[in-house]
Amino acid sequence: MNFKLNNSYLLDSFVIGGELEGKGPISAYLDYINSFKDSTFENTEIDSLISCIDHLLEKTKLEPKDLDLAISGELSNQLTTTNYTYRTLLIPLIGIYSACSSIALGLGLGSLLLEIPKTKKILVSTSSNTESAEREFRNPNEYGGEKVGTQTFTSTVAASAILTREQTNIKFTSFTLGKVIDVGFTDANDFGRAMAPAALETLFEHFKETNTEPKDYDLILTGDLSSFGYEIVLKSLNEHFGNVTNYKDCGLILYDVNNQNVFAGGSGPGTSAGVLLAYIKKKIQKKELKKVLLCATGALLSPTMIFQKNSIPCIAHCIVMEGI
Amino acid sequence: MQKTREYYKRLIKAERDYKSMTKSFLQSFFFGGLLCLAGQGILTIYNNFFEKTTASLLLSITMITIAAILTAIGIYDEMGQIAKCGLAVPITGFSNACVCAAMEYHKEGIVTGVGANCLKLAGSVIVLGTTAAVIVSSLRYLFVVIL
Repeated sequence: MNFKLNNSYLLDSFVIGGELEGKGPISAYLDYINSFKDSTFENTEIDSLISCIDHLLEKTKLEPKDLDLAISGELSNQLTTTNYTYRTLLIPLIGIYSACSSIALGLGLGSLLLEIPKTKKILVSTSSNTESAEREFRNPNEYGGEKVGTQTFTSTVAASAILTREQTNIKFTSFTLGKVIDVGFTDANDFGRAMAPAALETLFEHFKETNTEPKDYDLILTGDLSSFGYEIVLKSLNEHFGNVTNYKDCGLILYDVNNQNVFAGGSGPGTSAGVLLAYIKKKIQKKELKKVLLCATGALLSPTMIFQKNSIPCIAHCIVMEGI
Repeated sequence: MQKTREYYKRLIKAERDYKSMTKSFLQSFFFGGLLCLAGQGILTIYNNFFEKTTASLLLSITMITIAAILTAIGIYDEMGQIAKCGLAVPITGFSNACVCAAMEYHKEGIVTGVGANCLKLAGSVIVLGTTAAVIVSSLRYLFVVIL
């Protein structure tokens, strides 16, 4: 379902990248590079999200009490990172789970809530961490079993943004809420291919409901489809809309897939969040891009269900970011 | 839905990449063989100092210790990406599976963390290995001893 947004502007954002992201192609656009090292992987992820929000509040000279509410979501079980981060912030919180598409859902929900006159400023945050995701969804980090080429690499990124009703130079104009799509794909080592149908479904719906075509956007981004999913989506878009040249994938922007050891590309909530809130935001501010469509994708799998030989449900949400 | 389930299914159908599969097989064969060669070398040296059964026991201990140390310092997982199954099938793979799980869970305590999770990955080798041994030995007993 598509929503036209009228009151949602981006006040500011802050993105912290890890070590590998700091060596990637868009490292110059990241606000801060830091490889946090705490006693556990989970604590490390919490530290980086806390630090990210602190930096953002400092940058915008705001206090937690100035924010009406916060929307946050990431990959961890029981939203550990979100809940343990916000226990120190005391902002009314909506915790969301939409796997790697958290940022699009967060920004979209925030924008919808800004339609209510009472809300003035909303904090949206997300994060991901290679080690904690590896431990939760795959094998222990030091396990020497072969990782297949179709696998993606969870990025270590913490990203946060503040949405406001007051006009700034970046506006969110449209939001398409996706449906859960499951076509019976079961390979948990190939999320790219699993999520491609969800991405296409939401993209088609977005184009149909907004009466637009890929060429109406300066750039169309998908979240973390890996090089395999990227090819599938590109093929299908070409089939339906002619030659689409402005389509890219965030996981392939954040890392240099050929020279960095990230298998088929980056994944995780931090991937699309980092690319949108650092790279795209700065490109729009520099007027190099004007209208960008992000279709963030998420594989909503549960390791338990995968072990029980069940398939992978996926979701994707579209949000349009425009420079004014 | 904008497109049918069948359309998406057809779209995401994976093609098997036999070229890269062959490459992986050859890599596993080469590095696995190399590891066995190293093991044989160590066994030959041990044979000079100990009697045969002690030497082969010491060889296993040596291999397990080396793999455990390499896992602990974070090299083994990277070696595993190059050697593929060549490192996972021999006893070094078992050692790695135990140590990596123990490292991952040591923050959860000795009993509920390391103790409970150490065999998370390697446990199936013990359980199924024992079961297979019982079945094979029973068959051997049946055919060789009784008949």
